[in-house]
Amino acid sequence: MQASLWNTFDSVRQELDGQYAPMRVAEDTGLPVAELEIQARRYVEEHRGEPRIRTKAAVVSFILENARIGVDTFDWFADHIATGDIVRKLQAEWYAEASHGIPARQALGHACAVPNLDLSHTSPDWRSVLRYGPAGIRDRALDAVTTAKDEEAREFYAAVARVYGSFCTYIQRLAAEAERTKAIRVIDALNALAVGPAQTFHEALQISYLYNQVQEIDGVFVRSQGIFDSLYLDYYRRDLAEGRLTRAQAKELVKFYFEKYAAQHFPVGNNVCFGGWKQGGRDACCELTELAFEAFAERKSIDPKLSLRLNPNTPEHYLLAACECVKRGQTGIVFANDEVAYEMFRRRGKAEEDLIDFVPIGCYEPAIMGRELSCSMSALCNMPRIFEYVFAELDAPESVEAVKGCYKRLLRGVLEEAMAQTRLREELWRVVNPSPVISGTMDSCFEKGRDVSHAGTKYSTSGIMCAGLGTVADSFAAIDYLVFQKKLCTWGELRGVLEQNWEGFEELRLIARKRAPKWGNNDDGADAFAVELAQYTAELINNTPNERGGHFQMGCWSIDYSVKFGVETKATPDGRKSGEPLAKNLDASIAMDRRGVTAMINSAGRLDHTDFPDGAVLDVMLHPSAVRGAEGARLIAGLIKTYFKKGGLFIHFNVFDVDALKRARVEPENYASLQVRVCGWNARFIDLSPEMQDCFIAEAEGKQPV
Amino acid sequence: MIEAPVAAVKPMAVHDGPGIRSTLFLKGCPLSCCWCHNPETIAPEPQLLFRDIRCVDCGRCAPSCPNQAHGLDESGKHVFDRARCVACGACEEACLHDALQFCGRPMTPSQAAEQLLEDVDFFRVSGGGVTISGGEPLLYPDFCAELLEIVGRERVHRALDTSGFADWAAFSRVLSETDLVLFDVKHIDDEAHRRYTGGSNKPILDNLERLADTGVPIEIRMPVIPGINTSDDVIQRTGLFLSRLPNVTGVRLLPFHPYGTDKYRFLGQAPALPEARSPSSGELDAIVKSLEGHGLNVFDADVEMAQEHSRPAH
Repeated sequence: MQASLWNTFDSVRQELDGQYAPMRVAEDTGLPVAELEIQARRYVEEHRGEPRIRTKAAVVSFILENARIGVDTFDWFADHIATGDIVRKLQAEWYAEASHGIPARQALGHACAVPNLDLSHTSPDWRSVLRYGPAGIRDRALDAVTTAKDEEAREFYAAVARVYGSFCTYIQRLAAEAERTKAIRVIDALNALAVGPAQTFHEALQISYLYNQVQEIDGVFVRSQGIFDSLYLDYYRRDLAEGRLTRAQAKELVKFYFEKYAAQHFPVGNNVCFGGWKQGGRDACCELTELAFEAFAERKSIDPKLSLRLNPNTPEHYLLAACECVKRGQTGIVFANDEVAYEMFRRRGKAEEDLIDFVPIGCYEPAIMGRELSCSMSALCNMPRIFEYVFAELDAPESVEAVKGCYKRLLRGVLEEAMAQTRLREELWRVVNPSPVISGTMDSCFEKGRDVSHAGTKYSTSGIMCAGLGTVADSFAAIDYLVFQKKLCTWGELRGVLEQNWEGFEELRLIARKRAPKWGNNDDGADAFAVELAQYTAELINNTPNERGGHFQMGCWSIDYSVKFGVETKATPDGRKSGEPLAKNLDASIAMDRRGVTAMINSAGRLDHTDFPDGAVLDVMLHPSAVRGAEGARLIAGLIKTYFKKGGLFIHFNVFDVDALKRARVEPENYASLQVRVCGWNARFIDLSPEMQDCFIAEAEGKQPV
Repeated sequence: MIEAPVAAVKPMAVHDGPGIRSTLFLKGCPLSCCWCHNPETIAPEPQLLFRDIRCVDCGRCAPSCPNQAHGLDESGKHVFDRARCVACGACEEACLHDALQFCGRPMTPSQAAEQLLEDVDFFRVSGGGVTISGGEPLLYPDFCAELLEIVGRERVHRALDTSGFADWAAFSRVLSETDLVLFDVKHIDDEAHRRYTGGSNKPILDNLERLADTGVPIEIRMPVIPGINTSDDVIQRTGLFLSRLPNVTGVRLLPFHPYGTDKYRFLGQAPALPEARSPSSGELDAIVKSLEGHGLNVFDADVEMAQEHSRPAH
């Protein structure tokens, strides 16, 4: 590549960031969105009786071949196509049609659990995307059609061949448009990728991005970009060795590639994984890891977010480089524990050779890249809300054991019904959104001749997000303390107090908050409840089959449902008022981790994280002064390693002080770069809702030295 | 039974030696430095801190006090009669707003060790450990020696944070169980030292010279209080003195901050140094350069770090 093409990232960054708002496409390259939709719908109408996967493939194919496209001359990657979101509209209509008659979204008459059809937590087999390229996958499918074992398989292969054939056409169209507009940065890569697999680092990143886009046009979100350093290292090394690229140029390409994702302004971010054990037990971190983290540090952006897989073989300096980013407030990194994840996968019956492809999906939901469809939000459970029904049901329990027994029984009922309802929805996937694009990357789909929507994936799992464990533990501890140990009120009185949202009982509420044991303080008085309830819930969920040939899986996290669920949850025995947030993820209730981060880690380490195949994460908030100076990164690393030694699965950080947050509220213009780790993604603090800002301020205030 | 009065146990104390640490703050100090930001650690006797800013005048403390030190006046405002208070600590539990804090609960070495070693996994992973600070821990050499010995069995790093104002016998009692000494040098001039701290620096500097010859690593800590110990002459003499000592790993500057002022009020005392201010970064830089000119290693420090460091009682 010519030298003059390089060193432009900073100067074009603003244009890159605005490339989809609106997306620039050329009018003479295809049909306008309205016409595209009319013709697509005409096809659907005229082919009502055919298998849905055929219709779906035809629509996607039609879009890729006929939508208007565009190429930016200043970008290293081409991808503009105006689709009008037709597939998503059809998906919604097909879902409405198919789910007609399925009961409303609540279980047992309780709104504690919400069943769902989760089409959006997936990781394709990125290795196939690179190894075969669209042309290779198309040819693979064309071959398979001739030897298909049954009619369904034939339909499946034909659908894959069709969408991937059109994928190639789409790339050819982009290449032609690039020639026409003299977008010389992308012409060669596009021409090569239209007919074959990626050969260079640049081509590999280009096809990765295009694949991501085409899968999403097919109606399925990509929620892991794969293990970056392992996937792209060979291309990088070859280019450097053969003089095609310098390190600085490669870094610039990575910046452009990252910026592409950021420009989508996808609110929860795109997840790029690094490191981890590789074949033979060594760690996969390498010079490309280092380069990508440099690009991350220099971009100072909230998207993409990074995952770093750690194990005892991870060289210290990679961990320290990541911790240095965290220390400086670039906290969009989740740290994952290979040892515990492997153990968990083994318990779930996954094959040993598959484990090296462990990736966090979405935020921190463990899955095997390209071999598992983990659908990590297949149902959502608001655990603290069960107490509302416990109080309605129990009259005068004799002990906290009796309360626990009732809680468990109700929880079981709620979850069993939620899972039954989720199964009904999972069955609909085949008609709602058969997915030939992601299926085409998966060897197991090829072997079985089945789409991912029909158990084509090797592992088909369904995650259930269980929110508010800390609030549950604190509530049991408070009931135990107030009613049974100190006898400050009776069960019936406590019920009355909660019905009145603690109004008129502030002293009792403060006792519940300040004197009853709290989860997150390494105090058995609360922690034992968390451990027992988590284990009980895990056993129940993890042993229940789903509708796609696998099992349900417990996730012990809440993301921002700590706030959303909090709003609809009445007062709880721990002193929490109606509408206030629940404890987030594995965390203590807001400002209740009074003994600091080490005690919180000690508490969270008591849980058996291999019980949480849908993930479990701890948020740690640090004051900047605690990690200032040369030793700061090492201290963060020390916290991570200790947490992992105690069996923790995922951990991430916030580093800020409450004064900065408060000032940012008053003068947002001066705090545009202040990032917060919201849950499994980052956001600019000034972009958060006032409610969410309140949560962070309350949490940070709880950590102020007094 | 050996006991010592404890002001606070602070986990995740990251600036009191290497790695992640827990620091024990003992109560009682033979000096009374006018800039002290932890005045509750000066007197060895138990004390009650009344954090007036948190009091909501609920009156819940009144019946808990055996001596009627707490009450509400006619307007319903909380009144605390410190003269009646014997610092028994009974009211601390009654206050649900964290406005009353009892400071100085006696502990045995094994009780202290149990609390400190709760985080032993963090110490092992990060190369951290336990720091005994104060007050002046060497007021309790037997306590310290036993505690350090217990902690030592867990093979974690042990540091002693001292003003240096102690009998050499106290040092020799604990040295074999100490991996690092954090040693304060507050003022190189004896007359000024007496004036601002209430004690001579002679035993301190003597102890320091003697300590340096024992081979134990020493980190020097210098409070930086503009107008009191920041003149070029003082810094040059300090640098010269320290540069001749073996086994000094470096110097950490602890810039003065006014945050301790509230605490004097919480204790019913007037701040000894109400007018002082924090040093500017320019002043700090100049001191760093001077000390480095004597071949000393100066750890990076800034105002906020010092604030964090010096807040034991919470």
